[in-house]
Amino acid sequence: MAKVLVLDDEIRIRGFIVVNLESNGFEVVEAASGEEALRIAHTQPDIQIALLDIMLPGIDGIEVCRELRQSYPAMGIIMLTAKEQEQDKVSGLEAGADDYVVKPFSPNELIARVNALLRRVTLVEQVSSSSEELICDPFVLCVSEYKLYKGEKSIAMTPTELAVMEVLLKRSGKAVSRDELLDAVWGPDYFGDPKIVDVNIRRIRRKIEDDPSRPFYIETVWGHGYRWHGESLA
Amino acid sequence: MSHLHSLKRHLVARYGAIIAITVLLLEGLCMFAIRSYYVNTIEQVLSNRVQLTADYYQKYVPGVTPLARAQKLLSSVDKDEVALVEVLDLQGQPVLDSDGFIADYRHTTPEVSAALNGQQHAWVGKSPLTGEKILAVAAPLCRDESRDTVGVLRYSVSLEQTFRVIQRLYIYCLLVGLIVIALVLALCYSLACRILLPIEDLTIAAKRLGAGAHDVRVRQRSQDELGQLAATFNYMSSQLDAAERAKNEFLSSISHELRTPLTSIKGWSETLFSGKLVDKPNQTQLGLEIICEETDRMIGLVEDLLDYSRLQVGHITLSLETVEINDLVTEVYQQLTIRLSERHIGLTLDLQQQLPLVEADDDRLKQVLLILLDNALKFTPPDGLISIRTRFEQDIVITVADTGPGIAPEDLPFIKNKFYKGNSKLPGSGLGLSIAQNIVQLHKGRLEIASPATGGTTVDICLPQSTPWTAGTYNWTSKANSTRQNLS
Repeated sequence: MAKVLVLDDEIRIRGFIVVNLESNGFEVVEAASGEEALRIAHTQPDIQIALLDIMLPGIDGIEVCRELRQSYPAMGIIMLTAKEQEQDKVSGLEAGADDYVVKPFSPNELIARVNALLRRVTLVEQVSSSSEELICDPFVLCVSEYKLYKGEKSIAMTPTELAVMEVLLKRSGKAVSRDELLDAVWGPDYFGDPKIVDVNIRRIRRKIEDDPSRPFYIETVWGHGYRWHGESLA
Repeated sequence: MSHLHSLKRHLVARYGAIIAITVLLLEGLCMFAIRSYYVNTIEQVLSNRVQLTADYYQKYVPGVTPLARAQKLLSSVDKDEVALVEVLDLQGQPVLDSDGFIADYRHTTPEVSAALNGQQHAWVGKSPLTGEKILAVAAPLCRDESRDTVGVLRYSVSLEQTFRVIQRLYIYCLLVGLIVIALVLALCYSLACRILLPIEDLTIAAKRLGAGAHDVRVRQRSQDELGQLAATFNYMSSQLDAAERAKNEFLSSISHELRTPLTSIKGWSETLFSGKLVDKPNQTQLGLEIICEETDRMIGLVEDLLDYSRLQVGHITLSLETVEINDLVTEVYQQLTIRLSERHIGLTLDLQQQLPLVEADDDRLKQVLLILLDNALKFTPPDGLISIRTRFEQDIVITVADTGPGIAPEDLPFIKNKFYKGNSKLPGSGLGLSIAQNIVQLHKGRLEIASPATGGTTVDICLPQSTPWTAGTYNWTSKANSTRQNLS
């Protein structure tokens, strides 16, 4: 049973989220403040998914997200944002969130997002048992450790970033469209903003590129998507 | 900006023309004076000489024939005399001149004719003989006491040299005049620019402001009236900017305020609808309760907004009656005791007996009290204390005090502003105090907020006591509204 952390200061919103998660077979832990959420996360490292509200008294959801991401690169994080402004979505994703849901949202949509993200998180776990490694000089994608090695240097990756990297590496040298990435990583039933792909690519570039403003390994294919610079593996 | 350019041209052309005309007139006057001065001086000198010589002739010159007399006379003339001196006979023909010639010629020029008629006369004109400009002065020559004219004495000088000097002076004059005009035109132009540049700036800025830019600022080029206009414009622009920002903050705060209950309502209603809670009556009950409460919260928010906008346009009418403040406060107190006991917040009531009556709108005043108490409630921690007191000083004062964290000094000046919520992320529109303030002002009272550094907030509602001549005699309404009512 997957464990989900729900952080929202409004007990009424938390209430129905909990009811829906539980009826879909999730184990739920609740937090009413950012501080509480961090405390819970540290005592229960088996949390797989965190739903974080952004507008909170005390430390806000973005900060919680950043700290969780640092300590738990494998955790799936979905932001619950009350603002539709581009800035809020992006700042959440930049802080390391895998996805976001805009309030007011339908519980079913939220469950669908949680399930999609969970697939990604568990996919990584399944693969980890087979300890598969994708090698593409100078990178070694070590799925079991949620890590990418660039030469000797290890780079921590989130499940989403790992999934994106996996798709790109497996089709090294070929262009992958944004929609293909969206389908492969976020699932075919994802109905959020496709910009999420770009934000993740940007995040990955910042981690792996020598000069993120002039990316070398992940090329942009204008109007289409992205391509891993390198020899085809097949 | 063509009209501005034309204004510039106008300014330069008008002022330029006025100055040019003035300068040219002065020049003309000056030239006339120069010419007069030279010619008159020469004329004066010549006239004196003619007079002297003629007198001398009359008294002392002997001789029988006119020629002999003329010779005698001319010999007495100074050797350095520059003028040509002639003695003419009665026909105007020279008898002899100072050069010793006898010209075979008759003078017909006006000075000679006048002299023949016994008048001394000066004449400026072109000599028929030489074609030169000359000044000639002629005087009648008489013998002894008999006043009979026996001839004419004529002094004449060429004015060519003089006129050349005058001409040179004319040219200097004109040059100076032209320089003055050019300078003035340049000054005019720079003045026009000085006036018009800021106007041009303002026009562009106003256009941008009108087009929806918010950070429009005009360069303040000077400290004069135009500089002040620019400063005023900047002030206006900054006020608009602030208003715009307040509006945006309000919109985002309102949308957040609406989104939170909407999220609950949507979440719970869909959960209930999906049938997940069919076998859980307790949770079903909870969900329905939440939906109702959240709906109420939204209704409250909308009411606040409507109230606020009505107060802003002056649509709210107070239906004034004589109110016993202590009764009103007690009523509100009783309403609240139940709500407070749930949250472990104490509420005390301290009334001063025999308060004067107040002319007030019962319901509106309750609304103000509820807003203040609601705020106090929001910020008072469990086990805190809220107290309501009434007292009479110059006004009737209702005090609502809490033991909450108080208001930060930097927030205090703004809290009565609409939508101002300080750093609070607590629910609310940020309109409460603004509405309360408006209502109290309609009652001709004051709302005074104090928050000492030691914590806690005290709000005083100060109301004037009812005066005998206004009590019950007429309805105070906000001004705009009374006219509206008259019209309808």
